Amino acid sequence: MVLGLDAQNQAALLKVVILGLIAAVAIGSRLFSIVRYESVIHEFDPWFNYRTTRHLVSNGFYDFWNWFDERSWYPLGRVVGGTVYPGIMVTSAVIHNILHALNFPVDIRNICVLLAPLFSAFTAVAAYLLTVEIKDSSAGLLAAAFIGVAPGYISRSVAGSYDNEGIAIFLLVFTFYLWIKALKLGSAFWGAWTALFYFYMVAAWVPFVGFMPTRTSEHMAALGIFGLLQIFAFVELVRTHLSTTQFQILFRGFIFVSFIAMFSALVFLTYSGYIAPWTGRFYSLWDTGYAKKYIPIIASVSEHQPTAWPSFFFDLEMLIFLFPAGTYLCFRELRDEHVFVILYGITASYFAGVMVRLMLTLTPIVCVTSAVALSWLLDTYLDVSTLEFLPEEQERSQNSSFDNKVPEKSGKREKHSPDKTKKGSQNSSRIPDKKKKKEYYGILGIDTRMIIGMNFIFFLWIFMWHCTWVTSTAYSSPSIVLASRGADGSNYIIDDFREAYYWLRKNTDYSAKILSWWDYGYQIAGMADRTVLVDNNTWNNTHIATVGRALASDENVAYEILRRHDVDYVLIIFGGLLGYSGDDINKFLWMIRIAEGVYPDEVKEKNFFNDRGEYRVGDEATPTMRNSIMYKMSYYNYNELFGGQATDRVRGTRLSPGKIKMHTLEEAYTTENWIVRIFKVKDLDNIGRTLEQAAGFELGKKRRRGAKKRVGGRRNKSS
Amino acid sequence: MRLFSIFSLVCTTVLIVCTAVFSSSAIIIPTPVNIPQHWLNNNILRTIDLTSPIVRETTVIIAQNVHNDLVGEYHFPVKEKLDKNLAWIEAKERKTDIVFDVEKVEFDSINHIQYYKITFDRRVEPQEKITLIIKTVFTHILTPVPYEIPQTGRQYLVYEGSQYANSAYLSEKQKTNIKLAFSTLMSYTQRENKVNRNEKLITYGFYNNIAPDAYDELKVHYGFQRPIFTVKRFRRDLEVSHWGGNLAIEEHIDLKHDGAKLKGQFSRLEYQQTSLYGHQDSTAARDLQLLLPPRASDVYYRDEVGNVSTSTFRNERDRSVLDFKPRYPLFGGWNYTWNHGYNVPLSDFVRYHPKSDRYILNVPFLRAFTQTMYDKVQVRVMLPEGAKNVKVDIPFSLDKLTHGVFKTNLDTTGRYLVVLEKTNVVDEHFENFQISYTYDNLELLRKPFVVSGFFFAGAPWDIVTLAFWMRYPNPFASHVLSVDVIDRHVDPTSGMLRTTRLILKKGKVPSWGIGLIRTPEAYILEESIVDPHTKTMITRTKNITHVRKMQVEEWQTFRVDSQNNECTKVKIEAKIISKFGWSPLSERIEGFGLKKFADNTATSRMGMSHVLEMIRENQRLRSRRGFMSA
Repeated sequence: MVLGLDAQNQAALLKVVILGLIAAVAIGSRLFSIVRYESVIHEFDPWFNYRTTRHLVSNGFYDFWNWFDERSWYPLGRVVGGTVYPGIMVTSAVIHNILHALNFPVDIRNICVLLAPLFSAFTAVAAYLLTVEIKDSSAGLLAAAFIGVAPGYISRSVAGSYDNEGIAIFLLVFTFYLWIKALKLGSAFWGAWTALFYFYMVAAWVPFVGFMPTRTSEHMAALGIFGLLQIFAFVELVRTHLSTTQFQILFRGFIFVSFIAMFSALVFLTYSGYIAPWTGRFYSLWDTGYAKKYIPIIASVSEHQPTAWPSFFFDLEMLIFLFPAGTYLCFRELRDEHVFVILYGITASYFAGVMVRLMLTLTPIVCVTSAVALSWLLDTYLDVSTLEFLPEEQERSQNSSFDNKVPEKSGKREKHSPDKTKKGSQNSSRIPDKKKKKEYYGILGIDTRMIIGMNFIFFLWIFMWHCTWVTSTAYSSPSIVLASRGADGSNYIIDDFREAYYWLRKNTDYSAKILSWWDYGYQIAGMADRTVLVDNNTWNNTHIATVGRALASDENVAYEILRRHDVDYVLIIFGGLLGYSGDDINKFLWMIRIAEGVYPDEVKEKNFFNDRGEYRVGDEATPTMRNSIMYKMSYYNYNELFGGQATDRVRGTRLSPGKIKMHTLEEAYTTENWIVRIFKVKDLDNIGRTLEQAAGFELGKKRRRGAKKRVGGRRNKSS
Repeated sequence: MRLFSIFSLVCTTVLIVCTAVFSSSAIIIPTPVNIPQHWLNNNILRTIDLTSPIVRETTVIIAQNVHNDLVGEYHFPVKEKLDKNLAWIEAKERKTDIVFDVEKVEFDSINHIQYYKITFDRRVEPQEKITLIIKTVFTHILTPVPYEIPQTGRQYLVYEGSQYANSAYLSEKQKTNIKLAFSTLMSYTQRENKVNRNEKLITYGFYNNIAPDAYDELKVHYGFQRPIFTVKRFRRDLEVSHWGGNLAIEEHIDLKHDGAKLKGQFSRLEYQQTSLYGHQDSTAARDLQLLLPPRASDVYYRDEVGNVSTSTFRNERDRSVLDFKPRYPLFGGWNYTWNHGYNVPLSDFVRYHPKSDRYILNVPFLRAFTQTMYDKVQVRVMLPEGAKNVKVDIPFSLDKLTHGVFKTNLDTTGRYLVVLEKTNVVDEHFENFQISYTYDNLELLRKPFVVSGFFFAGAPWDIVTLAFWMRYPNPFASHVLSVDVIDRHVDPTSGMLRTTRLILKKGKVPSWGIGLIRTPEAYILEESIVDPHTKTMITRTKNITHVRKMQVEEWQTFRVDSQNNECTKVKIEAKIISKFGWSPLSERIEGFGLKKFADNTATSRMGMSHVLEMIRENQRLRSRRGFMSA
């Protein structure tokens, strides 16, 4: 009796305490980025979510629902209310409003930043509940601990990563738990909760469902299963009313007719356009090379790339080895919930192999099955109740040392399910009957237990260490703030992105239009509060291709496109000075490919490859490349910084000497480390010359002045 | 092409002239102002300080009373054009250093002159002389010419004014000095034999016998190679916390470089190249420095997109210094907005005045960049919850002073908020102001709790109030030993029923409290007011024994529910105070009291429900009996 509680209550208390600690660890390990940097929204998409959440909080739900955002996709605009995943915004707005109703003024930014860590704590609890349904509470605690720190999940849920996945994974796991509960109990109560949480998950992960389940090919299989269930119920009904032979005839006929009818209906509807054909993203799930060939915009996103093998180990560490074992153990029991786990595990592991991003959906099931496997192992090897046998065994071994090994070996061969082992051992320990004791087969040797136990404690320790290390090094960078170390070891923060965005926010006209590659659209809208042409919601490929075309064209062509779209400023990312590899020159090939997809006559990818088929900058760059405004803007004034000839540190190439001249664009702002460069699109010339003529005239004037001086200089020399 | 442009130019000019004519025709009837010529200025020495973007004019006047009677006031004119830029005016006597009252008086709409009346502390005898020092401070009267300069260009400002000092009286002799910060000078108004220049000093005068309000143009075009800052909006939040002994200060600043605008665009290359020579050629602001109070701590510096990492902070003996860099260098015409904050110990700024039993908060109205124009300043002071009798004492006039309530950090009643607003603020306003207030020290220990509010559904107000009187004894209140009515009367004027009852309760003392309380019985005083008109009943119960250990004061309000007349709404509020001083025991007692209270409300509600049920049963029986007898 500890704390005046009986054993059962002690166990319950212990579970609560352990779960609490796991939740604390789950939250704690996600706070690296806050401790190291600050409470800031990360990456790209979260900036949009943050911006819409702010809109929701300040303008209310109805305004949010009807929000037409005219400050993105200029001049098209975007219907935000109908195209967002509202789950995450509504969740944080509700939290915000509750806290404010209690006069607790928490900034909406902090709520957004800390939402994902908070929900990861909930996920740990949900994983516990789910695993309890599959095995028992000890496996549940392990699963909670695993999912709390698994890098595969942390990658999408660190503080500041305010994205749909942050809450969707919790909802996914919890919905599955409720589903299994409903399945087991057959209770409408649990069923209703399942539906409710399924709805919540859909709200968090899918935009604007509407009639999509009946209109797109992706959803046809699900719809078909739903139809099949109706048919099955109907058949069962008919069976009760007919004799066996009649039923047989009817059944065969019915199956044949309905199959033909449904299939032809599907084909007809697909061709007539009622059902949308498979989308590109869907094809790319089956053929990893598909996207690269046909829809470069999907392939250009790094998280849509096929997963590399090491990343499985990187994101899941030892869980990836325990995962098959856990699946195997599920096969051994094979109740309904185990079938579910197996199906989920197999499909998720296929999709995780196809797309890096889907590693996230694999992680929960890997944690659950690994926990089952590990818990089974620990049950077997650390079962304390079997220790009572030991003195007995030792006594016997004194009689004959030979007997000692027999039960152990047989124990290894005889594989009990953990439940059976436990029950058997408990029964036997309670009944002080020697015969009963002898029936027990298990692992008894202290040494074996020690080896396995120590080994797995070591593995778990390594796992924790690995997870923390991965979280700290790979997943805790906000990516809008970069950190580097000075020569003296001091921490140096590179804050160029915000420098540029803030400059735009404060020193340009509120209605200025900014052209940049779509990656930066959300950030510009969120931080600079200016109108952008394209953003990360890549719904209009043509518009993106137009932007790509503008950047890939020479000045005269580009100027026309820029003027036509009312562009005031062009923003590009240039990493050449600092060696920041995620810059626009490295992304340029994708821009060209996307542009070529829409404007095959104007933009040609092969023109950007030199004779040797290489994509290069500097001397070996092709003329098309060198004339593109992207190239010109990137290296504008760069040579002069080094007094003649500069080196691009990302591509490790020396640039060709000489000044880059531009007549339609002028440098408006360049950040401290030259990462962000903003160029202003010149207005039309006041007296109707072309800008080239005007620039030439200006230059001529200057040259004449300079020439006089030079002439004088020469004279001095010659004399 | 050219013809067309000339034509359009002419058109525009005509248009402008037209609008000017039309707008001026709307002027009110002009009224000339006659200042009685009671004074003669023997000598005037005026100094115009152009060393900062804020123009300071100091006029020393030796004035003689030429009236045949005592005179106690002197008029000082300010041109209408400049009056709106006048941020500060001050007059004092040179000999005694006494500061006189200055009052804005008549406006001469013919000559466009605004008069200020200086009232002396005494009346000056005829023929007596008095030496006045009048200081005026103007903002936004300098214009950069040229208005656009390249990144490394030099900035020049133009000052325009009069060669003569402002005076409503005849001046026998006067002289004007102009002080500059740099010796670069483009041009200045010339006048034969009257103008001298010596490096950074230009002198106009002496001029003799200058008529009142005489004017001759004075124009100085001089180099000023420094940023010119205008703070468009400045918000300063001061949050007083007696709990933490802390004064939290947060400041929101919208800064603009108001100097010559950057011509063309910004070139990082040029900027980095000139940084090798220390940016001498640029008026851009790269670093800013703020001086904070000496014991400032927990400093942060943020802007709308997050934390700014380029700042350093150090505490010195008599001040703290926050050096920071804006996200980008600030060129002419560029804006930058940020906020920063820090904590300082409250004892540095709040004093307790025992005689009047008041706390006095003594803080600077503003403490930020000097030589900066502040267009709009808002200071918000949040006094702690429970501060009362607030008085504000400020040495200069404000545009607006408001008192309000501010709710934050789980407040219930809200904090006392004082908002001070002023436009056109300069260094001269960097003065302390005082806010004094009373604040009960026990407020620290008081934690008012709205513990519960609930309905008695289906029970009308009269029955519930009846049940209140009959609530003891009930099976849930076995601890109540006796209930006695001490006093009960109907207030003759308002018709309210006032009752005082004494209740004896047997209390449970926690094991750690046995030593503290010898007698476990407690007397409880229950006072109540029933207002039959508004159907409201308010009760207050408090213990009158064991007060030193713990005082529980409970307020209950019974009202008819606004939605349903058949329901009664009950609101319960309780204060639990332990006067054991600062010891941890008092907190423990309070905690115990709160917990107990929460438990007790539930049981007392059950008791009430029970009594209610009994009353209803009774009524039902009675009505049935009535039915039978009928």
